[in-house]
Amino acid sequence: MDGSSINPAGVLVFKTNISTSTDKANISRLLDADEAINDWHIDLDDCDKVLRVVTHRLCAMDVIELVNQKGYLCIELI
Amino acid sequence: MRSRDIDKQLLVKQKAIELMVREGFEGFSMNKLAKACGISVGTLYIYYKDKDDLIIQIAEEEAKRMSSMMLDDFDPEAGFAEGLKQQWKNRSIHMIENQQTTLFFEQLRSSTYQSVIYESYFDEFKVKMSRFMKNAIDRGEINPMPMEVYWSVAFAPLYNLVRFHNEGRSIGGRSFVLTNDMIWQTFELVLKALKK
Repeated sequence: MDGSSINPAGVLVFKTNISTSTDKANISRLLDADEAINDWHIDLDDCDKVLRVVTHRLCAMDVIELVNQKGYLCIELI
Repeated sequence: MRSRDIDKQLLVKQKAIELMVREGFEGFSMNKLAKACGISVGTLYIYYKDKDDLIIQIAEEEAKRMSSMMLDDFDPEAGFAEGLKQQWKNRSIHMIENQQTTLFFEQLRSSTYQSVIYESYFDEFKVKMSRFMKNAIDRGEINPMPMEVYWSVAFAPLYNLVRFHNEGRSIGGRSFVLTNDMIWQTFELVLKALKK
């Protein structure tokens, strides 16, 4: 898909299996602590449990590694 | 942002409103919207954090757009009959041309997003509308009355005609098309009711 891959706004979007608020709490300390992440949000109501990260310094692989560290799946949505 | 992205965002907004009007907020989902727009869910999430964020952003943008259109050629210092006539013109045109948005607003009003719509009508609109009413009272053209009473007489009849028109049906399900003559016939009655 055009546009999204260029990512002018520094937004990265992932499909995850972060399903419950407990899962969210597990991951939030890690994401909150990362200074390269300006903002992040997980849509628990969506079937893809979409994680949205605003960052100008990290690439998709960096975010995937972060999330994987906590044992969750994370696949970039493009 | 490149123009192609702006076009895409406009398409997303338009499709989102259509889907929400058709399926309600409950039936609406980011996945359905992505499908309807022929874009990936990922692209959609670049613009919006989630369904809630999407509804609020679109409601705010549309309220600003509509309230600015309703001020076209409107002068709050104008005489009462002239100013009200301009308001009727603007409101009838924009509510009929933006039928989906008008239905979307009605849906918002009867939902938990109610406050969003009232807060988003931008200040210039609120200031000019109340200034216009105050001018008419100060000049002795209309009697002092609560804002709600004024609005219910001045605009609710038009809103009701437009609702009939947009639904294509009036009382008892009769098919209905609003004509200019009907608008101005109703306007004259409203003017007669309000003017001293």
